[in-house]
Amino acid sequence: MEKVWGDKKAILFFLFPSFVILALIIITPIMMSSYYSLLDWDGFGKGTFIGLNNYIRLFKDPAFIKSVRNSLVFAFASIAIQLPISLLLALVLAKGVKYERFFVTVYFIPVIISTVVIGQLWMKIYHPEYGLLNMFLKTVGLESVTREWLGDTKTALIASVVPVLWQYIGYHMLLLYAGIKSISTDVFEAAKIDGATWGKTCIHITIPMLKPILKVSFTFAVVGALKVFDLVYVLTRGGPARASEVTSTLMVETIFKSNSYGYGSAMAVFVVVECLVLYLVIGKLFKEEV
Amino acid sequence: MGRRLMKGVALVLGLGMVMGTIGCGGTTAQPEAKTSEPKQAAAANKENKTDEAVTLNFWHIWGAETDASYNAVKTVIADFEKEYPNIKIKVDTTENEAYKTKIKAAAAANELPDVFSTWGGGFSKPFIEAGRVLAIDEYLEDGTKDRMVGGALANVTYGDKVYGMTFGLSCGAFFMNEELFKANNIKIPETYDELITAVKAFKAVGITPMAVSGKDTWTIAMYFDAMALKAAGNDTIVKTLNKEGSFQDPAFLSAATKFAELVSLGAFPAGAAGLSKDESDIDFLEGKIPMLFNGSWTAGTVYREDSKIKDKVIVRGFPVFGDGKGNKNEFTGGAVDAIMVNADTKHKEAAVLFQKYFCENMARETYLAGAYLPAWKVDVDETNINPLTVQLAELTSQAEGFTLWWDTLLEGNDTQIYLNALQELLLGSITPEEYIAKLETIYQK
Repeated sequence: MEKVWGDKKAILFFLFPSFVILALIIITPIMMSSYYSLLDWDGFGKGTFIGLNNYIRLFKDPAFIKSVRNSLVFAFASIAIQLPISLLLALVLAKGVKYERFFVTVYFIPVIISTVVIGQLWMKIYHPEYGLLNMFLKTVGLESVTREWLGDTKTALIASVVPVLWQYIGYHMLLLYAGIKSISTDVFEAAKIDGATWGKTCIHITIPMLKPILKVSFTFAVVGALKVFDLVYVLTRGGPARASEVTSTLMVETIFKSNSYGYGSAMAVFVVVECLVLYLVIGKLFKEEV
Repeated sequence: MGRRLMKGVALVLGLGMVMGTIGCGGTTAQPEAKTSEPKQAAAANKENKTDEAVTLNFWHIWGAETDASYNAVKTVIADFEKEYPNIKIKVDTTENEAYKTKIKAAAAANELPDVFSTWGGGFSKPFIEAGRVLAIDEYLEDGTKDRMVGGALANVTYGDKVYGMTFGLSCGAFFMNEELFKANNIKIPETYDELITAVKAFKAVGITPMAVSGKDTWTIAMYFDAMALKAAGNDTIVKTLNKEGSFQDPAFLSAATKFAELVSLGAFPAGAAGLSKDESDIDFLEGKIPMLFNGSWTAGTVYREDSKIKDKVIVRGFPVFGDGKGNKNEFTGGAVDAIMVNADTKHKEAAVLFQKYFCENMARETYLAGAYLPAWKVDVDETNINPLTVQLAELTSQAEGFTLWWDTLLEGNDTQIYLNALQELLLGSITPEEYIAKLETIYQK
């Protein structure tokens, strides 16, 4: 291994292809978007350079501010609801339950289903007339709670958050599960000999040792939530009246429906910066705790 | 086991990386696969030109089997390929809403196909201003123009040049389930007051009167466009939307107030704001909702196989307003669906040839299919045509004029302001006055 690290050619050989790909499909578009974001441009003709005006407009645009807030709701829900569930599932499964592999697969299934299919599925669940959710509520006598989940400005956001959380629980569970499985069994055996219960082992051994993977999960959850687009687009198109608008849906609307390419690019750049900042914050948080 | 899993992950990632590099190398090394075409003198005669094998890329929106124009498009393209065996049409279709995004992206990147379907008015204006579309005036002087009905080119003429061809005329119309009206002893409304009476009467017997989809916002606009037309009349609307007037005109507030009145009466389904067009159509086609105001293509939908309301539906214009300036012979719509040719196409002659053939034959086929009213002078046997389409043709034969739909007449950003405000009006989250104030913001630029 050390030999390889010392061999500069080998490093170049392995890193160069991914660097090229990264440069072509990630870095270049970001640079281009940054440039476009300084233009007043409809996407077709020639744009006029307007400096930072698009950014100034961003922070005065109530629709944009609302969309950022909604994205943060997604991110918060991911951390506060999705990750604890994933962690719990991972801990229980890794402990060794019956049909362990089977459950791992089952929880992972939503991740591999196409988002549009999931969207259609949940649209049927939420349907005001024949939807499962309202039917269920009616059957148990909670008719007063039934509503038009996706058509009501009060519930549209939360109704779009739930499927997103549901879909990716399995993803984080698998990450954490693999992480737990890679912890040396010696540690667990030692804990057992010392008489630690499963709960104590989890809190004092598994979770602390899982920190690197937890950090990865945290990052993916937050960044993924800030970029969420597909499910929201299928479920509500960001509506009604922007109740469930997230930054990505607003950006697509701005660029392709309103033909404001420059302004939309400014939103894109904002999302990149937002993700980067939160990534650094998460890194910092995890470092301090260790 | 955990190790093995990690190893597996690493293997997959590694493989992906290798594949990625291979893919990368492949694309750069590959010679550009384009049909080589010997350059010909500009004066080459047409027969020579059409003899060479040509492949035209054609994008359109009628690819779903549920679409009333689906079979018409297939027939016309097949006929064309039979008649001109050297020209191949390579079709790519996308669903309407997604297509709007796709075609804009393609236009922005200068990657438009040779021939594509689009919409006249404000929608295609940026394409034309950016020089992406071929002006076809010179190709129309051979008598082609005379075979079209008046106004067929109105919405594809920009400046004084024609940039596209239309094939069908669409208009907004009220589709009413006569059986439901009769069963409940309700009069088919001719005026706004009668419409309110009908709405109340249907509500009283527990029937939701009108279908709309708040998620596909253009369906709300179908209603409001017509109401604004009845309130303000064609001239005021065109002037206002072209930014030469003001939404402060009391007629707009009158239309908005009436729309809000319908909302507050519960004329639209509860939860309409969360339903897509397909979902909201179902209740109408099942015969549960008596009224639907939408485009004339709905005639085709009413007669589709799974519809339970065939032969029960009649067509009317939007009820007139007692205090409005618009009369019953003014309609929303026009010849909007257009076919345009990429200005940079390598096969201009072939593309325009196809454009003409397609439009003229689509005019006939889609009329027969009940999807559009023809924008070309077609000679067909009307006995086999969808009866609703014939009714529509009768209704519009008295037309004094067509006012383009706002979302076509307005340009992108203004369309979004309009549709978003309208969605809020449907939700009842803003008052008619606030709605007008939001519309007025399109003047702030």
